[in-house]
Amino acid sequence: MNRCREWLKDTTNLAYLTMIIVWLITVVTIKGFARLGHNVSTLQTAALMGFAVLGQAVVVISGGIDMSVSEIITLGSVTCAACIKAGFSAPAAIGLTLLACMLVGAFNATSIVFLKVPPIIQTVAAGCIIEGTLLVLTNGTPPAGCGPVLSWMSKGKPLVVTNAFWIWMLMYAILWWMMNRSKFGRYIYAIGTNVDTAKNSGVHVKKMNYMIYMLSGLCAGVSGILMLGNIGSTYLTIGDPYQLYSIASVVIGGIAITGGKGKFSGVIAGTILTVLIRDILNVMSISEAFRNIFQGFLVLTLLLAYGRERKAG
Amino acid sequence: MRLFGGSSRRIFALIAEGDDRSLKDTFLQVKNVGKSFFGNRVLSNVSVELGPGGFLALIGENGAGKSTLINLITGVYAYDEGEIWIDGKLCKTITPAEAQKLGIYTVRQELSINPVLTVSQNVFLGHEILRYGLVDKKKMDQVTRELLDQVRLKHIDPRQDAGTLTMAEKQMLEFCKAVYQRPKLLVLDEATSALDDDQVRIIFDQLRELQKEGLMVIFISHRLHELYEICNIMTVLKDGQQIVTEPIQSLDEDRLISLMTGRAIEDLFPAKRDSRKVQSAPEIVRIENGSFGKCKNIDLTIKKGEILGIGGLQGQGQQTVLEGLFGMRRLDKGTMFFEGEPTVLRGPSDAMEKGIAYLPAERKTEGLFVSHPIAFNLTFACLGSLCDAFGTIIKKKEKEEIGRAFDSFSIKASGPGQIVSELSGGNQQKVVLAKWLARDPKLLLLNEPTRGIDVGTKKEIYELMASLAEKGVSIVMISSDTMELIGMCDRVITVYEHEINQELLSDDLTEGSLVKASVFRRDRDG
Amino acid sequence: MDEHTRAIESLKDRLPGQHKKLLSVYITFAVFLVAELIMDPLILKSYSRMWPLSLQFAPLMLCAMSQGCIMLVGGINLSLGASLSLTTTIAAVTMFEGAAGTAGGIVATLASGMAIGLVMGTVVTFGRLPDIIVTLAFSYIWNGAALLVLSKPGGHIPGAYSRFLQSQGIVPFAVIMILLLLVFWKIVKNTRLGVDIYAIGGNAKASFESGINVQATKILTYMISGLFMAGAALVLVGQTGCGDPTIGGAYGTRSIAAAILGGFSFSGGIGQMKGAVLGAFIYIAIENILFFSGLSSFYQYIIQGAILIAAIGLKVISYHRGGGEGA
Repeated sequence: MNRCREWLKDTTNLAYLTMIIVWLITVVTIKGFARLGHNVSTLQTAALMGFAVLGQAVVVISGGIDMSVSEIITLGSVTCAACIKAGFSAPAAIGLTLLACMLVGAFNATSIVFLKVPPIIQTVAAGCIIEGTLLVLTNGTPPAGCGPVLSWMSKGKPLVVTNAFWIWMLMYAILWWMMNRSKFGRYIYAIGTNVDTAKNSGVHVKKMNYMIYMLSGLCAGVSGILMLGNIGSTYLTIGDPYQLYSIASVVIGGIAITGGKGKFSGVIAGTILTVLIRDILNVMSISEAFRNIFQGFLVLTLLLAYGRERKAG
Repeated sequence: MRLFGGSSRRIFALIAEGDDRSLKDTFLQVKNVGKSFFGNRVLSNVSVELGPGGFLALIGENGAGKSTLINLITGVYAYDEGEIWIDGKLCKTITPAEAQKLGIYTVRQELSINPVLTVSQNVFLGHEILRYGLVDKKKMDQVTRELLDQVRLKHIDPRQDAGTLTMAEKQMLEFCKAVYQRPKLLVLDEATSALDDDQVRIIFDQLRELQKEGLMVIFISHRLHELYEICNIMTVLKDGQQIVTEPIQSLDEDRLISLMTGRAIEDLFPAKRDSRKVQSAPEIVRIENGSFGKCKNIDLTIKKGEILGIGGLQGQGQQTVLEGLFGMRRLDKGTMFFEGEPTVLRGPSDAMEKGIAYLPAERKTEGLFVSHPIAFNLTFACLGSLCDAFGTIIKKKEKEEIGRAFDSFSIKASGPGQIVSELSGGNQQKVVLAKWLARDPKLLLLNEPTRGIDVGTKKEIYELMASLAEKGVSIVMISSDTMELIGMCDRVITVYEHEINQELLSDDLTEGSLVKASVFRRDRDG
Repeated sequence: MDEHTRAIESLKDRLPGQHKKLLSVYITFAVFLVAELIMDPLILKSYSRMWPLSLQFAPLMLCAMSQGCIMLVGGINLSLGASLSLTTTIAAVTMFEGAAGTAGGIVATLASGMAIGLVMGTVVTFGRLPDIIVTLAFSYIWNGAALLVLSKPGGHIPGAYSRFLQSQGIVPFAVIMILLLLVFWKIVKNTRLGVDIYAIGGNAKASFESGINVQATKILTYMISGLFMAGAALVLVGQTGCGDPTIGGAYGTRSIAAAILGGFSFSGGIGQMKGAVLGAFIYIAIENILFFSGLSSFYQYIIQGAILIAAIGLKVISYHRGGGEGA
């Protein structure tokens, strides 16, 4: 009993448990949710936004926050579409796109590190700048079409679930290694806990910030590219919902929003749970107004619940 | 004057003249009080009485229960056993605000000065003088002016932002704030830690003045001579037990130390080495005509295996020199040689590669990750050596390293998995030291290594320093504890107004010579 | 130190404390005031140009003041845009024709602004959560609530109210409103509450130990912030003649930028309301310059981001150049 309580005190375990319970409830109560096809598409949705969540989680653990993921997703999908329309091969288009997204991350890191702009403001500002730039460059209508390669990378299903999901798992595995098994992970947790001590202990905090924000840019970029592959075209607000979703997934996954605390492995549960909740809201055909309110309340409630946990522990 | 025997010794506070006072004059009466946290008894059966003019020194190693006792009296915690009477009233549960109303005011080591408010706003925070419901700034500035004049801070304007004050000035301001409250009992918990001797004297003069009006003080300080100077009774605590409460004259320093620790004072510092032999060793660092930010004209050599002390008044730039040696500040001018090679340190990691380690003064905020386990902290500085080519931490190696460090420093904890914030100050300092020594440094920079640490751990740290120096590790230490500099260092340099002022070799080191070297500017031509 | 900086230093010494801190804001304001006058010389010729101008500037000024309050206690309000939208919709459904109906609507709007502040302040203080993330979550709640009240721009704003707002009295009403709120703030600042607001922004823990009720102070600050925000809503509905569930979107980030331009700092405890007003003026003047130069309106997003970064970045750079190292 005591052991059970200990196990539940771990926010990550709690997230996985909740995910399974919510999934079981949907399977039993909502018609069609038990079908394999539906579950595959849920995982596909989770994977598409999951990349951005991976990056966001690393940023949050390092004590920052990346509000520009939504715009980087849009940037990623629009740039990739434009590159393909301009005649680049798929690998070249992907490479160029990811480069652009990482540049945004580098820009974020530069301001945060050298101009001492708080991460939240810098990333909000970067989001504005990307949004404006894309509007100016595309005049409001981005190029359409994505080619077969991207489409296959995102939607192809050689192994039960879509390729996007497998790529997501691969990326998760790499980042899991980084956060849990490598010294970089230690450094990131350290920066999120106490920057001064990290600096005094020889951590290159500036370099690490570049790495962290560029990684977040890269992850969001992958999300954008695969979203383009998934629907075959893009639009300038494609990334918008993911600002809250990415942060919500990180919080639901049990990672402390204040940084330095929480297991990285929680991101998977957090992402899937977020998608499940969104699906439930969709099925219940709730109006946009109530959906907004519900999402806001959900994040707040979770923050409050975990916050209390922190005080007790 | 012992009135009662047995385990609960009680004493009436007597003023110097020795006039007899009866029980009804006691303001504070602590009767057999005890306190436990989570079943862990931290204080038991403590009895203290204090009457007008009584200045009580509370002495004990860290974790002896001094702070707990104070927190019980000031209402931060509720006590489990016994009784506390304040001003003739039994106070079972009392909040800090109620304690203040009863005339008990606390000045703590952590500064409560608000940097964005003006000096006078700080003094009156929470007790503003109101006029028609609005804050009366003029009146407040005026009163603050008087308070500042009393502690000879004439250069401070009541209207300037408190954030512009130095550490010492802030601590003086805390004192002004307390005095303005006209407390009956003033609790000073390490409230003089940032002050130099002159400033301490100013504050003591004020306290003596107020003593005549019946002020009582409970004083905690790691500087024993301060306690001897101002207090008239002394209570020694050890492991939550009250060892003795006696008039201060009857306890000499040697006996006091042995009561606190069970050791004699001569044992505190290890035996000194022959300073000539140390000085003939090859040099490890030389800085020629260097400057770090405000610190100018630095000519400095550090010998291999030497313990070099940096002394001087508070905030004269000692820390800047140390930070410069660790690469946290760039050398703006001049050259630095490390083991004979001209070297530029671009950051702490450069310095660490050379074999330099730095123990910051604020261990909780600059030296440790307090919310992480001991193990996380122990290996943090030497992670590089525990990794393979990809940066993966090799678990087996890490475990070995943690086990080695944990055992060799005899850290008192339930295990390497315990969270650092749960450890006592002394044990936390051991964790920081262990973290750095895991790198086998050639040059160890220590910033106030024993501040706020109990005598027992102090001794361990001194012994460790001596054995490291014997092995050829050079140590540079900043300390505001004069005895420590004299007891440990082979050589001491003093810093005055951001310049190196004087250099004293081990044989010339006395309290007098050190104070002189700290206060008087060296005659440049002579 | 060169001649130029020495001149500024000596000027600084002569100014009283409050204005000393705002010196750079004053200088920037002067520069942009001149720029504004060059672009729009009509202001000098015809006094009546004041009315439309005041309506253009007032909402952001009030939003910057609202944002400034939160920044004083060390937070950022990311929900300001959403709550502004919500408040305009509330104004549009609570205002009725006639003096009593209009007055009732105004009171209802101001009250709901303060209620919004009360709710968020309560969650932030009692939940012990970072303001940023709480207000971000609340931005979704307020957005949803605004859509519930009015799913599209609509409602009814009495014509008399709109006419009154735009009517040509001696001084534009929006200006009077800002002046009134500035006086209100001046009074607040000189009460214990005012000192406490600055104190908890500077050091919350120590303020608590000094016996300040940190929680109550923070909640009251959020309520005052909500009041300023409701003021902005009242100006906006007078201008547009309706409530709009999306109108606030434009004011969220801009209010932060304006407050920073006006001298507020993220660390809390630093900044003054008149600075927020000037900051908002500077911000809109920059936008006007862009509009004047004929750039596409898409550029406003880029400018928004650039101003945010530049306003903070320049402060850091000037701090380092001014030998702030030792401080």
